[in-house]
Amino acid sequence: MTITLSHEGETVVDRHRRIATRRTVLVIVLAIAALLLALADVVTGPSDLGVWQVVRGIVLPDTLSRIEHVIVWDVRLPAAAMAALVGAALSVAGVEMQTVLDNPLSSPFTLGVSSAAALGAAIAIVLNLSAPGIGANWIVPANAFVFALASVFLLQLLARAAGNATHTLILFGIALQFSFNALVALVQFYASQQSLQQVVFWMMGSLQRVGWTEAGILAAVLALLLPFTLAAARHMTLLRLGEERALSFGVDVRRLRFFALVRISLLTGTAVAFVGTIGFVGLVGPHIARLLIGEDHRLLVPASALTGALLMAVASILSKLLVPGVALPIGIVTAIAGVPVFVALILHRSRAA
Amino acid sequence: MSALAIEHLTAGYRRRPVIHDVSIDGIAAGSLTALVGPNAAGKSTLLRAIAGIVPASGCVRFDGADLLREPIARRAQQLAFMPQSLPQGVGLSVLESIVAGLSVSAPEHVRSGRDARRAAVSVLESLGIVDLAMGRLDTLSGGQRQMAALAQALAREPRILLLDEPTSALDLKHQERVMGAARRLAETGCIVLVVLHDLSLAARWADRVVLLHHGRVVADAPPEEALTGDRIGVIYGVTARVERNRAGRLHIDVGGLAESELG
Repeated sequence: MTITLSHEGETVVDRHRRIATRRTVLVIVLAIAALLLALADVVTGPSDLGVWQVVRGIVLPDTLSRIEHVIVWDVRLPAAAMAALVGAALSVAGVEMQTVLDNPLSSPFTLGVSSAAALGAAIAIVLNLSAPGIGANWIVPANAFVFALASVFLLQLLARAAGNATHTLILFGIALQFSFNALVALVQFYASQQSLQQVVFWMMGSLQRVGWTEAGILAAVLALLLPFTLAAARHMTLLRLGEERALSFGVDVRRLRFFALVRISLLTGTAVAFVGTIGFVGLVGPHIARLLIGEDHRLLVPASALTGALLMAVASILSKLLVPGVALPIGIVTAIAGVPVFVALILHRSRAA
Repeated sequence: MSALAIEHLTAGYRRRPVIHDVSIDGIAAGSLTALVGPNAAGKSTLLRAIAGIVPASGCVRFDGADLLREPIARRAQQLAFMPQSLPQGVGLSVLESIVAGLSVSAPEHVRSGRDARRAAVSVLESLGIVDLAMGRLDTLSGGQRQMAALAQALAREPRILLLDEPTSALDLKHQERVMGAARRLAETGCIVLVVLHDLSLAARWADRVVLLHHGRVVADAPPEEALTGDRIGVIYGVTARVERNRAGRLHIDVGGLAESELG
């Protein structure tokens, strides 16, 4: 059936189509920018390797000496890949969290996932845990991951008992976060000098301890979950119109929220387990994407992944450049650099309102 | 044409029922029914229960099925519900919000994204609000939002349309527009249920008025039978007179609070 429209109507259809095209182009531009910044991240570092030397070394590994090969392929590339992947994972988790909680100030850490992971890591470090079949370097991330997941399921149980309203979910999340933080402090209080140092360093968030395996696992988790996130994107867009309206449109809001929280916890849990707490990316990434792309989640989700990757690449570069000769833990950089961005966003919002 | 029947509906929040054993039979296709009553009478709860948003016992019969027991997606194909409020800070444009709705449950002839876009614009045209198409929902005035919400619901061409106080934030012109649109939709064979506070609007636009009080139906009849001066007086606690003016419309004249309320 063809629908006849007035001249004004045709103009509107045309404008809407042009906006959609422009947004798609913007996503592609973001993808290119993220790739270039990730490359810049690989190029940056303390050892004086030239830009072309590194680029050529990535394309043709044989042109590098043995030491250069280790620097580029075993240190810088996995760290840069991990930075981009963590940014993408946290930002996608962030945009989902902001939509399901209907709260623009939420992040993947709002409901205490990072505190739970920190508790898991701290316990593993301080008690020097070991488990059959899990290598010594894997026990800390594994325990952090288990705690992160467990916290989300605990939260779901509590929320279900209280009737599933979003604000109760947030309040329970805050309560959990405070409890986990207190428990982390307790563990630290009883920790030996050496393990205390390790716990503190873990919580700062760092890319120094990752290799290809870790990056590969996070990439696999992301590749596995992203199709589901995209499949839910239409329903997520409708959820922006409010729970009741979404329900009336045929969106099973409870189911949507439950699976979104499962995805958020898997993404956040995996990222945090390997690199520790990296704040602000999951909050700011989605906001920047939203400013550029709008709220249609079919584009907002990929755009958030890209802005997250981009931000983390920048943070990673800064972490190597700020203090010559020292690579600062990236979690500190994102927190320090994130605050002004965050304030700017709030000012922008209040001006727009 | 199928009719809608509400049978023994009890619903509420946290085990405290707000409406008790409400039955409204034979709501005909093509009719506009107004749900009226004082504050806290259970009007909105009844509407939400029919929409399947508030848990309810009883049944809502339509087309041989109980809508309350239908899967959410199937129910959405028959029924559109327009709540009173919109969350703050929604960055979608009016057109985007309608297209998003169509992407989840659309009438059969809307098959592609292109169709959806044109169908959405054509609904905006029919409501006379094409100029709002590109406006962000959070920058619209209360009246414009209400019109946009109505467009979201109408675009899906529902067989049952539930409107929760659609005129509450609107000036006279917009009230006329919204009620006119609801009326026109009813004339195409849709069942329209509207919660209204304004009895004059109910009297003017509805074929049937269901008066609720303390969660029970106290009158269910055409406007001139349901809205009598005595009944309004008792239920709202005012002194009221209902007359028919020269144009044949019901005119509700409220004299003041009833003596029992003045204490």
